[in-house]
Amino acid sequence: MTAFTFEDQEYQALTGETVLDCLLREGVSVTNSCRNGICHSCMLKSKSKLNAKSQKGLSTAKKEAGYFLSCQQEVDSPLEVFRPDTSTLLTEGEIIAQERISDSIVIIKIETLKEFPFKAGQFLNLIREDGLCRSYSIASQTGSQQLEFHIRKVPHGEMSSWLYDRDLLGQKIKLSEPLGECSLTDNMRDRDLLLIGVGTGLAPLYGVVRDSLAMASMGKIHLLHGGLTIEGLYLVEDLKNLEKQNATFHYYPVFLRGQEVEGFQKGNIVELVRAFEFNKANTIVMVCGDPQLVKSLKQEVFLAGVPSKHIFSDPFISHTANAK
Amino acid sequence: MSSLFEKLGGENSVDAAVDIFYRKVLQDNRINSFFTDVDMDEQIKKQKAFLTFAFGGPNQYSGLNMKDAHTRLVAKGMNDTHVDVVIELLGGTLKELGVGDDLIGEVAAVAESVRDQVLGRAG
Repeated sequence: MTAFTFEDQEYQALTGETVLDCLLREGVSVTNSCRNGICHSCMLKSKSKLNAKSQKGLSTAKKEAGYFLSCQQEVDSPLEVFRPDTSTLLTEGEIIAQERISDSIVIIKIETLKEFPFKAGQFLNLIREDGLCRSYSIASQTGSQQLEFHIRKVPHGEMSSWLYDRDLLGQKIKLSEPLGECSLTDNMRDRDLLLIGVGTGLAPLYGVVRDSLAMASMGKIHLLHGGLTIEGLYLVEDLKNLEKQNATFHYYPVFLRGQEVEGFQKGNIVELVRAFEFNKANTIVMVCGDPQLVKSLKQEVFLAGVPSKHIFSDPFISHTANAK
Repeated sequence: MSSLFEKLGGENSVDAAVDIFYRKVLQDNRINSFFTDVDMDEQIKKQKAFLTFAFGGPNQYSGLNMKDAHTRLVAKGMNDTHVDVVIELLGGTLKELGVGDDLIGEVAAVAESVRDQVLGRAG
């Protein structure tokens, strides 16, 4: 057991326990979601020496200020830990649109009260008034005033059920800083894009597609959207229209189970990607959605010959799978 | 007298080798079961550290973390034959990059030097 302090109160951590696990075990409320070091929602502050893992992915300014991810910091030496000032980390927003587009997917639009810079493809945490927090990808284009989210109602998912079931127009909600690697950067110019989204993994790519079409010098853009059934595919008409209007954009809706339907491909998305013909040396690949599929798809494109530094991903790690 | 790492081309050689090497590892049925379920980004980082070490470059590898890093794999049945395959694939990678046999031998010897730690036979 190792002792550490949180807000000047002492706690005893069990061997191998993280700051977050110990505080939660002791009944202290700490915002958290993925518990994998990805969502950054459990960020706390300390002046003590921290391990490198708990500051992985933080900006230099944040590292220097002593921010760390409490789910990634084991208590192996005495630490002094504090809550950060959330008013500097979170932005206030309001739900201005809520459209249920299928029996499990709702599109939510949020307007922030002050300017909110982000890049298409990034994700952020939505924090409800009672502190419940979950990560969602932004589906808007870079520069939009409204933030759009595609939310799948997860069985027993507290946040997603709330966002789907309740009428929330005018509801206040807090947003964390945007994060993530699936965004266009200047050094991607002149390259082709292969965007693979599974389920609501379409959301970040929906923004990236429109960003890349706005960026004149992108090469071919291939978007593969996979769903378990055809009902899991959404924004189909929008994307088909976008394809008609743009010669460089190609859209492939794919589903696994059910009858063949014209205009859609039926099959396993991993096998489709394996057979997909594209310029391996000059294509940037982005893969978003279910973590297991993201892992397989990344490996598939890597083995096909795409350099590892051209492969970006955003695995949607579900909270329920990690809750102990 | 330049070091092995310099002769191989330093960090650039590691960057050039890592994708080739990791692809070989993932495609080799003798050892890929140890690797296919692991996150690619994490693996690439680890393979880079391993290659930097094997190329005689600056590294933070100590015998102890070599041992710890492989405990899980040894428990899954990793043994001398698997280490042999890794050293073989490392040689194949360097050959593809046009490295001569003498330098490949030196790299293999460095990799060989941690065999016992990797397999948990020495601290």
